[in-house]
Amino acid sequence: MIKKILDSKYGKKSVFFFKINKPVVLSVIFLGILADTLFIKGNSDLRIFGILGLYVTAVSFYKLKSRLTFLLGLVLLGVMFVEFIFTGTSESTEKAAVWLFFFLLIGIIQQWKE
Amino acid sequence: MKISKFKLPVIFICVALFVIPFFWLKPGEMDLGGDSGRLYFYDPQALLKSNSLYSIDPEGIGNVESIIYILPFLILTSILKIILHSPYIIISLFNILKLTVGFITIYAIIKELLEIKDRHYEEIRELAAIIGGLFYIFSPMFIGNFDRALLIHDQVFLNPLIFYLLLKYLLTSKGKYLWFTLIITFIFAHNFSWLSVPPLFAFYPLSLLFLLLYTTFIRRKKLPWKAIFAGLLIFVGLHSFHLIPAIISLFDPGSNTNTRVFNREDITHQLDYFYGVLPIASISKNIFFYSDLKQFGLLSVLVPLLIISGLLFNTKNLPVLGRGKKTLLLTGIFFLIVLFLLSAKITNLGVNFYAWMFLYVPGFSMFRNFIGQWQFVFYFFYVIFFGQALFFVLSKLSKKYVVVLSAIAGLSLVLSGWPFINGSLVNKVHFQSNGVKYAIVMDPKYEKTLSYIKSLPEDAKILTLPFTDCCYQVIHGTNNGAYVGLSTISFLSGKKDFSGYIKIAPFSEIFLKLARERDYDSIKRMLGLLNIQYIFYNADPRIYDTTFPGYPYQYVRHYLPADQKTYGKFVKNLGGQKVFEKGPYRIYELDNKDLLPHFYTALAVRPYEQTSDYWDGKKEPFFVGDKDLNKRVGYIDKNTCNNIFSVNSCDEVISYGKNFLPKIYFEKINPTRYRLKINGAKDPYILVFSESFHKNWKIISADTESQQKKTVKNYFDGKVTEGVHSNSFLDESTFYTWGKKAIANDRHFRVNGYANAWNITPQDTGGKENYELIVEMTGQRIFYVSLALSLIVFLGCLLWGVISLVKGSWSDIIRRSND
Repeated sequence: MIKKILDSKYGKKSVFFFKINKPVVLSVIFLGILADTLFIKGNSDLRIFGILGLYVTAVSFYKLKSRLTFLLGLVLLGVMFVEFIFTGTSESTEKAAVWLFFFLLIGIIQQWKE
Repeated sequence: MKISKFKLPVIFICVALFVIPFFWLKPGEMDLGGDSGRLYFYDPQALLKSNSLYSIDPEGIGNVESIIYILPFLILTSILKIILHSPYIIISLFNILKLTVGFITIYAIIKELLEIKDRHYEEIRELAAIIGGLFYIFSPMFIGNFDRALLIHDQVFLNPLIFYLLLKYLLTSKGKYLWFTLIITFIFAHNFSWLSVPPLFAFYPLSLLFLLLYTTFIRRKKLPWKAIFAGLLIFVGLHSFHLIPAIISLFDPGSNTNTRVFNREDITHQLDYFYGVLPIASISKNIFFYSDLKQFGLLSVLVPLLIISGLLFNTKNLPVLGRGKKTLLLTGIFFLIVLFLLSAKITNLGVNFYAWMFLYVPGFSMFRNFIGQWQFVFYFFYVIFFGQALFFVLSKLSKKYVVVLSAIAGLSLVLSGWPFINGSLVNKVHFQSNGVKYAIVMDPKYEKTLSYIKSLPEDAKILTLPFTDCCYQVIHGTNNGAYVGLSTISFLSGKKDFSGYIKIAPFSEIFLKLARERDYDSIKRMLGLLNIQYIFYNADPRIYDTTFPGYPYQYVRHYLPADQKTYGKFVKNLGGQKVFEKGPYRIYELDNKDLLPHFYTALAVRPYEQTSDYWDGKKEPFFVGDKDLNKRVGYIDKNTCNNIFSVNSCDEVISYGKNFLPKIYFEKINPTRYRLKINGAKDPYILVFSESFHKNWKIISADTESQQKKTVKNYFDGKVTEGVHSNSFLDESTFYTWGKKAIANDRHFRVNGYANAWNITPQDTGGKENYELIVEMTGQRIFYVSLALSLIVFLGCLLWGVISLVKGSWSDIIRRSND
C-alpha cells in the first residue's frame, strides 16, 4: 500500500520534495520540539509522540546517523540547563528533560544498529 | 611489591576516605538515632539478647513483629564491640566501609566494563574509573542519607559490591567470587530481608539482567547455569532464617505482609500515596546530578554533557575491544529505564503505565515512594554510564586537555561534596531544635538509670515521659547533642516501653484527650489496662522546653504539659512513688489499684459497643467513666462476645465468683513463652494475657510439673503471683510443646482493646484442677527451624570456602615446585 502510494506520481513528487528539503524538514521538527518546550503550556502525549514519530520517520527516510540525534540532544541539554538555572524545575525544564530522554533513547537505538 | 603509578591516586583516595570519617564525630560521640535505630552500635549484645531472637516487638503492647534479619549483623557488631569497646570507632568504621567499598567497587566495575585495546589507554581508563568512583560517593543519594542512616542505607556499598562480585564470577567462573557474594549477603542479611524488599527489588532484577545481557551478548561468555542455580539455592538456605517466616507471613491471610501485597483496597491507598509523591518528582534534577548542597550549580551540567559527548565519540576508532562500544549503549538503556522509574513523569502515558503496574503487578505498591526507592539504582547506573562515557571523551583528547578536564570533573565533584567531607552533613542539627546536634556523648547518669530498669524484677511495662509524637525517646548527652530515636528502654533493657503516640495504640487518641482534661483517674485506669507499672520521667529541660519546641512533640504538646515544670506536676498526679533518681532521670512505681498484671483471671467480662470504626489510634474509650470498684475485668466488644459466649449473656456483665477462680502463678521463659501454674480450677474461667492479640498465641497443657520458684510480686491478695523471669532462648523445654494440641483455641479472643484472653473450661484440661500451662507464640517455632537450616547451610558454606582455600594453596605449591 505504502509502496503503491510512493510509486504513484504524487508520491514520487513528494519523496523528491522531502529529499531536497531535508534541512527544512529537520528544522521544522526541531522547531516544533523547541516550541513545545518553551512556548506551549501543558503536556500533550499526542504532540510529543507525534513529533517523535516524525523524527523517527525522518531518521529512517534520510538515513540519519545517531550523531545528529545526540547533537540535537546536546542542544536540548543546553535548553534544559538554561531553563533550570533561571526557572528551576519548571514545566519547560521538565519538558526539555522529557525530550532529552527520548533523544537519548532514539540515539542509543540508532547507534546500536550502526 | 611494586605499585603501579596508575594505582597511586586510588590508594591515596582510599587512605583519605579511611581517615575522613574519624573527624565527623569527636571521640566518644555517637550518632544513634533515626527511624531504624542505630543502637546496635551502642549496645549490640543487649539488642541481641533481648530482641533480635524473638518475633515480638519489644515496644508498647508487644505486636508480633520480627527483627530477626538483623541477627548476623548484630553478631558482627557484638564482636566488634568486644574487641574495640568504643561505639565511636565502630560507627566510624562502618562509615569508612560505605565510603571505601562504594568508591573502590565502582572504580573496579568501570574498569572491568571498559576493555581497552592496548596499554596506551590504561591511564585514561584509570582516570575515568576514579572520577566515576568519586561521582558515586559524592552523589546526592549517597551523601544525603548518611546522617542517622537507616539499615537499608548499607545498599550504597552493597549494591556495587555484589554487582562487582557477580560480574567477576560470570566472567571468570571462579567460585571464590560466588562464595564472597553469599557470605556478604548473609552478614548483611537485613539488606536482603523483608525490611529491604523495595530497594532489593529495585536494584537486583535490573542489575542481574544487565549482567546476563552483558556477559552473554557483549563478552560472549557461556553462563554457568548450574552454578548459578546452586548459588541461588545456597542463598535461599543461608537466608532461610528470615525468608521462611516472611514467606509464611506473605501467604497468611490477614497478615500485614499479605494485606500490603494482595489487598486491592490497600493497593488503592498505595496508589494515592504514589500520586501524592508524583508532584515532587523531577527528571531534570536527577539528570543534573542536582543536590541542595551544590555550591557549583553551573558545573552540574558537566555530567550529562560528558555523557552525550561520550555517546558522540562512541563511533569510530574506538579505544575498546570488539563489541565494547555496545557496553556503553547497554548501560545507557538501563540508565534510561531507571530514569523513567525514578521520575515516573515521562509523558502522561508513562504516569498511567506506572499506575497500571500498581494495580496489576503484585507487590509493585512497595514503590509508592518511588523516588526514595529508585534513587540508589539510578545513581548506580548513572555512574557506570558516566564513567564509560568519560573514558570515550578523554580518549579523544590530547594529554593536556585530559588533565584539565579530569581536574575540573574531579574537583567539581569533590568540592560539591565538601559539606559531606567536613562532616556537617553527618552531624547535623536536629530538625526544629535550637542547635542541638545528632551526635551524643551518653550521659553516665542515664546509663545507670538504664541499668536500674534492667534490674527491675517484674515483667513490667514502662511509660516514658515526655511523650513524643511517634515512637521516639529523647535523651540529651553531656555534649550539645541529643539522641532522638527508638526507645532505649525497650531495645536495651528488655522492658516494654510506651514512648510515643503510635506505641500506645489503641489508646493513642484517648490518652491525649484524657491528658488534656487532666482526668488522672481514667489515665491510671488506662495505664492499668496496659500493664504499665513504672513511669520513666526525664526531667531534663534540654530535651523539651526551649531546645525542642517542635519535633518530636509537635502534636502531643497540644494535649500534654507544655514544659517540664508542669510535666513534673502531671507525673506526681499520676500517683507514682519515686523509686529512683539520678540527675534528671526519675523512675516512679505506680501505686495503681487499677493495675492488671501480665496474666490474670478476670472476675468479670464487660461487653461494650464498639461504636467507632476508626484506625487503631481511635478505639472506643470503653474504660472511661467505669466507676465499678471491681477493676479486675476484661472488656470485650459485643460482636466478639456474641461469638464466644451466648448472645443473651452479652447484654450485661458476665461475672465469675471470686472464690471459684483459680490461683495463678506465671513466669517468663522468654518473650515468646510463659509458664503458668493453675491451682484450684474447678469452673470455667477467663485467662487474660496483657500482650497484643495474635492468633498464634496459644495455650498448651504441660504434662510435667516444675518446681515453683521465688515470687516477685503478688496481686489481688495472692490470687495472681508473678514469678522470677528469665530470658532463655533455647532450653530443654523449647521443643516440648511442639506437636501438642493447643487448648481453648476456639475460645481465644481480644479483650481490653488489644490483649489476649481465653475462656478455659475444666474439659480443656481433662478435668484437672491443678496443672501447668505454657503460653506460647507458636510463630516463633518457624524461626527455630529456619535458623537451624540457615546455620547448617552457613557452616557448609564456610567448609566450602576452607576446602577451596586449601585446594588453591595446594595447587599453588605444586605449580611452584613444577616451575
